[in-house]
Amino acid sequence: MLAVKLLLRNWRSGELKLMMVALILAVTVVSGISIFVERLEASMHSQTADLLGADSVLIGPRLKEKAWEAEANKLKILHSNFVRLRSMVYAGDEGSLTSLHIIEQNYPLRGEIRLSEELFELNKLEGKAKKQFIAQGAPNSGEVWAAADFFYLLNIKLGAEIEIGNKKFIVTKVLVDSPESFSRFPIVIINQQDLAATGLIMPGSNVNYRWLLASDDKEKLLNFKTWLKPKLNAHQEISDAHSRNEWLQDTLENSSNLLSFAAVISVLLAGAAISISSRQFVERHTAQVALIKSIGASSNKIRKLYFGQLLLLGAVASVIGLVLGHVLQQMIVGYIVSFYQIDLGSGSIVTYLNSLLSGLVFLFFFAFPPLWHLPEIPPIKILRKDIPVNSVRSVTQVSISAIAVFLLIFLFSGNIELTLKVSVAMIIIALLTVFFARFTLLLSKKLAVKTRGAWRLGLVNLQRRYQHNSLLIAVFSITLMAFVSLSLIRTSYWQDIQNNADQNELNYFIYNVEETDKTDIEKYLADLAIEHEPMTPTIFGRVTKINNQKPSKEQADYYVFSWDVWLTWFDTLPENQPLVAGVWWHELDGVVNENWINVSVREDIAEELHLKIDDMLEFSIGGELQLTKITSIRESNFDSGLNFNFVFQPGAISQYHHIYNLGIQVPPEHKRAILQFGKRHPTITIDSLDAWLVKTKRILEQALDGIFVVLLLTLFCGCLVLLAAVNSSMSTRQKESGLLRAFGSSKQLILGSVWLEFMAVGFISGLVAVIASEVLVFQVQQMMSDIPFQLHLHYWIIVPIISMVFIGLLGVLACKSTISTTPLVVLRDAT
Amino acid sequence: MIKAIKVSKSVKTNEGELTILDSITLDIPVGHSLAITGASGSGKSTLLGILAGLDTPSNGDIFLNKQQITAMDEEGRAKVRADNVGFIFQSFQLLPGLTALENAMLPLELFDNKNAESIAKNYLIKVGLEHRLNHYPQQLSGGEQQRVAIARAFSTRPKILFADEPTGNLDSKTGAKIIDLLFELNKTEHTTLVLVTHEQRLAGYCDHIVAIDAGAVINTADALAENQHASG
Repeated sequence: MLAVKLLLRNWRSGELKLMMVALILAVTVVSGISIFVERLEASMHSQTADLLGADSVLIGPRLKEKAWEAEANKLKILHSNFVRLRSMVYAGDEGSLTSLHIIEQNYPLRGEIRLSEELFELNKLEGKAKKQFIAQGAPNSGEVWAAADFFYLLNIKLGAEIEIGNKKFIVTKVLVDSPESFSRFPIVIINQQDLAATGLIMPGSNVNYRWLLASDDKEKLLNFKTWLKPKLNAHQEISDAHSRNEWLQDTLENSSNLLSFAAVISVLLAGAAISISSRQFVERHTAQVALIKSIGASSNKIRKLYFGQLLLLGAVASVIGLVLGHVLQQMIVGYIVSFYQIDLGSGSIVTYLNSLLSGLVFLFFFAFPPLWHLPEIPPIKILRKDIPVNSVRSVTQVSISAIAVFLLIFLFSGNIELTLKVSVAMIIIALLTVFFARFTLLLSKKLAVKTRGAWRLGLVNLQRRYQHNSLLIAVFSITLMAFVSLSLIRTSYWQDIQNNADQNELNYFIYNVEETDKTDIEKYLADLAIEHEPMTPTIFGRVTKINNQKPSKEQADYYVFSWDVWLTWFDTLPENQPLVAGVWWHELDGVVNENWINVSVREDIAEELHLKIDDMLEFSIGGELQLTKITSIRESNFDSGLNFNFVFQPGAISQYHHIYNLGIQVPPEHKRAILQFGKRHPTITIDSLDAWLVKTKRILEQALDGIFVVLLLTLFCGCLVLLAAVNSSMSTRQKESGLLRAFGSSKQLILGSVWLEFMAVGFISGLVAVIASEVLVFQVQQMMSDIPFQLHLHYWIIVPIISMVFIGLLGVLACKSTISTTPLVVLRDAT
Repeated sequence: MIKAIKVSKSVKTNEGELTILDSITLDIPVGHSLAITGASGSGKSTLLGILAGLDTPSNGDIFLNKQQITAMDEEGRAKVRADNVGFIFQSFQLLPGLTALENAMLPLELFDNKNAESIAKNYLIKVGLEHRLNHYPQQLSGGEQQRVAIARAFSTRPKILFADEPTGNLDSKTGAKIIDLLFELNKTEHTTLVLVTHEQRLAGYCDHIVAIDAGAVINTADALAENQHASG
């Protein structure tokens, strides 16, 4: 077929190489990200019983009634008890907060627990142990199975001795995967027989009880649940579906969004490279088309020949890109999920097929528009070079590309709001680029007349190739902005959190302090000269009605209705929680009303539920209903200390079993002492900001590593655009260089001017990138936490300099052929 | 073979309408050669383009091998060109990414000729380039490039050959060789030749000469061409 022959011949001449590489890159990025996101979403939204460990589960702070077990046995419904609680676990002097899973021999009822007898090095590609097996039953008494990160945190190996509560255990297996495996804290599994010996469960302890149910007879299970539901209290519910832990889901979704954003930038740049290459191809083939038409080829024939070549190119690029995309998503999976050790499903055939087609989509949006008029070139053009040729206007090309980018952003994000925000960000960059490019043009005009030699030539070339250089500035600004933003988020943002944490008075939080331990801990802290606010008593409860009305469907999902939250009481209003409405206790008449209890609500909850002073809230506390009246609303302030959802008037609910919590500031020299105290009081939970910071940093690093891979591709795409732009101006550069050399200019002069031209582009790109990054990172920081705006001045110096050198070097390498060939050859080749 | 009847060409400019060709009438018999001469800007290349069907006149008719191409659209004219016409250009117009052989094969491949390679090779040998088949245009001298162009033009056995300043980019010695080659092949292939030139010596080789100035025919010569040819 002639189209194939011409394609091979054009490929041989090097004309299509740049377009091919850009196409492959675009398809690689699209397919890699699409497949990964699909695998992630399938995993996140999976609602299989395997994740639950059962078909249904009864969740609640109370154990089930014996009668319920009897009924389940009668119906031959499988059941198993599962308990989860946060607990400190110690190995020597080290301690870590863990998620303790206490299971019976028949757990899980659905799915499996996978173990390993090797403490594996997390395999980068999938984060899985190489040798795994399925667990049979629960750990033996005195043994635990622990997740890989547990070993890392406590710096122990298999066979190590650990302490949980009052009991010692041996870690015998590494936990690879299990139902309910998504936790902020490392998971440790013990046998239910050992629970009592740990002494961890006390009245009022924050324990998550689950009664797992499963049956192959779905109707029997349904009947049982129907029988059971009326017997449940406000704190118990039956769940049939389970999506991934919200926190994990949010983290993975954020990673996915960042990846998609990076991918869109890569695709945009690849599209620009494709577009420039296509325009250049058209320019070079205008004479060829006129020749072929003069020989007698019709417009249709030309169309078939050229579009056929491109379609073939697109097909080959799509296949190669798909293969590379598959490898790319494996790499990203390895980086992002190795920490979580979750099992992602596979990408569907539809996604692979769509990725294959994406190459053709890129051709359509970026390569075809410049080619569209090629078949209409008049044959007289072969004789009359002055005849104008129709071509797609730059405005049209940019508009088509903008639509493509908009569609791509929407395709990746699925979110119109995000699409609009990112599009606005791109427009801002475009405007900044135009501003700086015009400024540079004016400046270079003024400076050019005052300079000589390479400086003058470089500045003149900046003006002469204004459009090309503006495009390069835009391209590299976007690319560098992505890198700088990532770096700022990863290091500077992390440092901001660290600084904020260092400035924060409270870095340790101690929970679950029983009345019997209260005096002990107060004395211990006094001995260490650690000052603290009075300990706050807490009990668990949830809101059941507002003004005697049950919550609406929309309200029912709000956490104060669906979870048990901490309720507390204290006399003195803390300074950081001023009232925004109502009066504090001492301004009331001092008598606790026998019909209701006075309560103070936090402002954000009042706003969410449209609460006001004198509204009546009904609470369920340990299954007992309590009516309350809102007498004040406190400001939502989370800067220091705990800011409770609801504060009851002192004395009103103190008859319920309660525990104490407090936040303290522990200097570095006393951190180990705090852990020692925790060991002696196993029911106490100690959560340190340090541990949270370490975990957050690890999560951030893992997620951003994966994104970094995509950004490398983004940088490569940016380089492609530079090469394409230089390529398209090559003949002009050759003519200029040939003329200058013929007139006696030295190679150094021309080389110097090229350096200056591209270094100026690099410097401006770096500056625009830093400005855009500061704005973007500030927005991200505002979304994720309330960190005040601050400039990162060292980036303002480093980035433009690095960019200047890098782009200068790239430009010189790209233009090398024009500098080093002899004037005669250049002049001859340039005609 | 080629008939032009009162052919005119005008274009609109900022200063008003510009007449490039003014009512030109020609009749070129089969197998004859015609030279169109004139100074730079006289309209010779425009006339060549219109005669070849590459462009359309503002007024008048053109008949190419008895077909009225002025009544056709571009697709129709393309078909006539495919069936009847070959071209040689001043700047050779070889495709830089193709070898000499591939350049010569191109018109044959365009119309699915299964013997494209052997035919093209044959013509390249005829023009003396048997050792340069796989060389690219940038590896060939100007004369060699024009030979490739000649081989390409003749490979389709056209009935009419249009040549626009075929020696314009060549030195006189090389140009002379090209002229000899061109007319030799023209004779053996029995083509009707129309060439544009500003060289009187080249024009003298042709059966007929038409001199153009400011878009109008100012002189025609037949005997002059025969005399010059006989004495040359």
